[in-house]
Amino acid sequence: MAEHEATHEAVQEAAGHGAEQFDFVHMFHHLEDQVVIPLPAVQVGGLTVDLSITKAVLMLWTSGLLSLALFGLVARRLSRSDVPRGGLTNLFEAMILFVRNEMVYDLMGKETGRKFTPYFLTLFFFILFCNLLGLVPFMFTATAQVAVTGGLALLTFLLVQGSGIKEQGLGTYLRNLVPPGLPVFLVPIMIPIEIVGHLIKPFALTIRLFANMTAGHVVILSMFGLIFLFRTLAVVVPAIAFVLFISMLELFVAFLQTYIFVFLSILFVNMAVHPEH
Amino acid sequence: MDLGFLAAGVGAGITVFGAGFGIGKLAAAALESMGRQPEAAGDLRTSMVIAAALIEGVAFFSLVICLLLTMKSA
Repeated sequence: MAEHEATHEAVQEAAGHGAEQFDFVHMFHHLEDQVVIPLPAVQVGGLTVDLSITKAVLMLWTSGLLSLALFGLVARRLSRSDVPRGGLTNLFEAMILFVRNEMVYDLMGKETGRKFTPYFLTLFFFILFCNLLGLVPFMFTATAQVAVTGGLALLTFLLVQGSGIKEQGLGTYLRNLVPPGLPVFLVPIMIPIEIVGHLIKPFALTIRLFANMTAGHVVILSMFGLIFLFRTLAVVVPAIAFVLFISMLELFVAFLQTYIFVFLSILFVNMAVHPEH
Repeated sequence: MDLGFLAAGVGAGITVFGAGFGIGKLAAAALESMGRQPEAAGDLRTSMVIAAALIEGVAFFSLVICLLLTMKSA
């Protein structure tokens, strides 16, 4: 961050006092988190944890509270009557049934699916609301922070390992690390490869969601930056049209990336719970 | 003269070439299969979207590296 400020000042000086040069590093300020309420940092055993309330934290809270309130309402309306219930309930019932039937039950089967449906439904709608909140003006995409997506992937990782160990017992799970029927001298090579394979999957989930969310915003900011770069009125209309198009694409990507994240999580948990040889 | 910016640009260009080529091949295969067997179009479409998102995921790894290069060079 100190490098940005130094370059920014250097560019300002080079351009001469009063004439603003457009430097793209300024654009990255919109992608970074902004502190809303600074709170003191805490020492947690050697690590300094900064507990300030940032925009990302606010967005995470908003997404969580929105999910709670919305689905509380939907559940109450659904349990009350069987007759036509109005648009909101029908919309979310359709989405919930889609995640449960086409995703969880389709991949995991009904018996195992029943145990994991709550987690995957929560995950799906939490990520979806976080992604969609980023498209609202003056809000911030919480999932465009590596920490957030890393945390979600960590949850999936813990669920995968935990459910695998619980299902098969610790010994069998560790023994299933290497495929059966393997020559003994290959086992010391396979074990690190398998461990890395287990670790790389949550890492891929993290980076995929983070990069998809950030890339959309980077393109939008670059398009706006073109207006500042050219400083003619003729660029404004095409730039805004392109920004509109990219925003539509981002809307699609928000849904798609949620689907992919949850789909792959279901796949990983399924592989851990039903090891197929 | 900072080669970091050049590296980021060239890297992003090569990545886009690879990803576009890969997803293009995927879409070609999927569309051909949908033409042969229109009843399976729903399943094929779902698998196509999933595979496209995975390929794009790999492309985004390189995007992240290019962004890191840019921010490091700035």
